[in-house]
Amino acid sequence: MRPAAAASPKRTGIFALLKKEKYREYIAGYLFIAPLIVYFIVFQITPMAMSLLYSFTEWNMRTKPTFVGLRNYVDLFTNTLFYPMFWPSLWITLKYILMITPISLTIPLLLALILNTKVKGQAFFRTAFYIPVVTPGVAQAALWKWILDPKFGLLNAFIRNTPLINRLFSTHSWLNETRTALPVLAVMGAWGGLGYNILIYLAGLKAIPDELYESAYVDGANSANTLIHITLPMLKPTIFFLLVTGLIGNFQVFDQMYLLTGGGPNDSTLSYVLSLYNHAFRYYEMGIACSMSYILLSIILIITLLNFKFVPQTIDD
Amino acid sequence: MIKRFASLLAVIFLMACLLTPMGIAAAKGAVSFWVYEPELKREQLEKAVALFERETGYDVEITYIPKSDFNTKLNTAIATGQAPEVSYLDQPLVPRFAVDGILLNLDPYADGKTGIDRSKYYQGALNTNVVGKKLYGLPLNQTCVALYYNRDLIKTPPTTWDEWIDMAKKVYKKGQIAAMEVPPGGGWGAWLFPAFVASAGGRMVSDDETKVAFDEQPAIDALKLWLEMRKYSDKEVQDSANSFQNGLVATKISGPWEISGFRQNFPNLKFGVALVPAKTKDGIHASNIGGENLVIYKSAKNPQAAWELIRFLTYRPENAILCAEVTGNFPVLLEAAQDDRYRKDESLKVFLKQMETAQARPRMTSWLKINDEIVGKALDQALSGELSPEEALKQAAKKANLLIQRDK
Repeated sequence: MRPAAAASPKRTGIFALLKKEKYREYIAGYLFIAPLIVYFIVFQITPMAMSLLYSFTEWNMRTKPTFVGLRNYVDLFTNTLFYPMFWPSLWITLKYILMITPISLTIPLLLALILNTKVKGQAFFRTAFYIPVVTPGVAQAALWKWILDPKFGLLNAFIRNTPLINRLFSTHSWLNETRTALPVLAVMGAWGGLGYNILIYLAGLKAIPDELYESAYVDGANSANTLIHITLPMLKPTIFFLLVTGLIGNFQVFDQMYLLTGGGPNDSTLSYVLSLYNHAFRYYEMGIACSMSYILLSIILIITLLNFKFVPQTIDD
Repeated sequence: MIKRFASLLAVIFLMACLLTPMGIAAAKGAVSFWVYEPELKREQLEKAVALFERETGYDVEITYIPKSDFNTKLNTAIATGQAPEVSYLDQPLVPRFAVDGILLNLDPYADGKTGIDRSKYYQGALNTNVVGKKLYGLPLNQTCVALYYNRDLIKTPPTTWDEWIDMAKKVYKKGQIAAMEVPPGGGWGAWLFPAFVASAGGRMVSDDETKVAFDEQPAIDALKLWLEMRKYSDKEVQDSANSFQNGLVATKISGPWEISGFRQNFPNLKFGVALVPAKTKDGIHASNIGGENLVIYKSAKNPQAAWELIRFLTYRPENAILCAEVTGNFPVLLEAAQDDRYRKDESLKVFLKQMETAQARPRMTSWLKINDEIVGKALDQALSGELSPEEALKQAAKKANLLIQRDK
């Protein structure tokens, strides 16, 4: 420190503060985290606050927004003429969640249990199951489009040419039948998240102490007993985590619908967020779209709170 | 410490200096011009623009944006005050943008020293730029739909609906051959639908555009035709990838933009183009209309340069042809459409003829929403068997009329 500066203690302001060792450290610390803070404020907090403001306005993005109070919210809930797809799209999203959640909780668990034993080619399978997770949504969609092609697709070819299967199942234009489109998209979604869920389950399985199994075997338990009385209870926190994050993610399902069906046929796959996107960028009703996103946020918050209250999440429960 | 702080400031200042000149240059000197990402003829478009720059001394900065994302990006840019000076704009969006007051009224320019003779354009296409008797753009291209048919499957194309249904019964093979690529519902189907309604002698909206007319008999008949054709067109066949191109579908309604793809990628496909069949022998072979316009935004810093650019691109026959080809559609200048490439090509000349009976799209501000959410939905409901055609269209008309009243 230069003596000249130290000799003038009356100087105030930022330069004087900088003299003090304590503040210097503070400032250095803030400077280090500044990039992230700036990012967080500019790209997360501000848009959230802005969209809350816009949700109380009518705004087509070209003219100045006009304040309409709670009208957007009221209209979404009550005016089925102007917003006919609000309730149906919410229902479609719920149906999608009801289909995908059981699949994406059970199948990865089974696969993780198999992978956790000393099965041959373990590393290969782990990688193989994880590949969909790192595959972009568009590439996944292209792949499934090909598999599901009614005339040349693998799925219909399999059904057509396999002796027993062709008696039990019939071929379909899978993505263009109101009955099959949504279940197919749910399977697709579950497949896309398979690798991630397996990974989380595997981590959970590795964390179960071997002693538990050893003492159980000493007491004469078989594999089924240990699965029910040791593995599943010990996995409760993992299952809970996957359930909560899965629900949050699946409420926002958008990619598959946007890329493969556009919400059709007959709006049977018009998910909530796809409908929101249409309002924002097709009909230029940004105010409505912002309201929809806050309604979704509330729904997700409520569901998550209910989860925390009613679903067992610790091993002791 | 002060020194270090100062040097940090200096670095920030330096970076700011480096970054700003680019921004300033883009804002002052050049005309920013947003176009669809063209698959074809990109170099030729650039060559034409380069010629414009040489002739006038203005700078043009082209930004290519994929068509599927264009309107989203454009609207976002407008919302943030970053609108280009000139852009393509889909026909039904012109009235909405004009009503919002963000487009420049072009009447003073069109009648000024570097003006245009409006009668040289196709009036239908030019009129898509007119809102409240004021001109807000120049037409870039126009398009309509006609009947594609597979020459290997049918010898002569149907000219009436009865002939079409007879043909369907003959050509249909369960699980093998579909008689028609029956349009889906939704926005796309709703865009095709007016061609059928008009071919049955009807219309989508009343003449004064104050209420819809798609609950009248012609529209119901048109929808019944689709349902009838669905009987001879298995979804499993027509939904497979490139079903028409692979020779599995006998007839299909689509636009001229398909031709180059068919010729380049499916050389074995023997296709023909015919007028959309009329309902009866003495009926009209009507079609719908589509296309893009070139508009100038009110925020443009150099409106004269922008005007000269859109005039250069649409008013000179050779450029009008180029602009039409870049987008796979037809030129909007009467003189350009006389070019041999349209009159001699056996497919294109049918489209050119079909254009004569193409019906203008309603110019109401909510039409896009009515098209997608109401007409498209009604088609969906009828095609999926949820409602009868009459019921679906009647309900839809009721909703659409309420929506139109709200806009007033």
